[in-house]
Amino acid sequence: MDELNKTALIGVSGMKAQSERLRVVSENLANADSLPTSPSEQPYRRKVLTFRNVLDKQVGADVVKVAKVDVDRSQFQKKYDPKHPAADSDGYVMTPNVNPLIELMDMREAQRSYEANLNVVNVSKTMLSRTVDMLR
Amino acid sequence: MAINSIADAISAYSNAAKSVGSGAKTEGSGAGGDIGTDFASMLKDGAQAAINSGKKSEEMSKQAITGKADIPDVVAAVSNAELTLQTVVAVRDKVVSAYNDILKMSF
Repeated sequence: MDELNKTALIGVSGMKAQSERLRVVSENLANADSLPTSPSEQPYRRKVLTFRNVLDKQVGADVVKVAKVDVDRSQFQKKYDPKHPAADSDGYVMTPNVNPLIELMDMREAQRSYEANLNVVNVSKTMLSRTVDMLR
Repeated sequence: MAINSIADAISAYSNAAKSVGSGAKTEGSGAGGDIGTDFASMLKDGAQAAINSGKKSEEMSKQAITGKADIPDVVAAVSNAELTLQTVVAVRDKVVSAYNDILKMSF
């Protein structure tokens, strides 16, 4: 396979990985207020994903794949809301361990990384087609 | 001398056609005896490659419509097909124009 074709495929793998990251971010953001319905239940637990380099035999180079979508094991936050059905005997409700600010920064990072990979694909495509144009 | 260099040019084109078309099997004998079949097989191989990548891109588009494929994959497959077709067309134009140039030569 052509090196520039490989480049495009590797860039595409980065784009796919970043779109999956954005999907996880959107899950976290959307569920930032997902509270339990009873004191015995737990609220939404934040998800984190890890990337991994995987040797793609077809491409013959390391592409990026999402290794695992895991959960953030940090402590849940607590909010005083005695009227909530999930409030414990002291009147506290457990809230998700999602910090919207962190999620928004993660979203920006996914966006920039996606754009970077998109540019790689674009440049490799332009280089290939300019090379072919030399024949004309 | 002039005749020799023309024969060399023809055999150079014949060799170029051979190196592009993997379907060519015979070794060039110097003159342009094989150029017709080699050019045809080169075109055939090129067209086949373009058709194959076009089929792949259509397959990806179909999967994307039914929600089975990712958009980046579809874009990659379609642009790959486009580029393969461009390459085949450019090479064909180039070789045909070279052939025409040779035809127009006055001995």
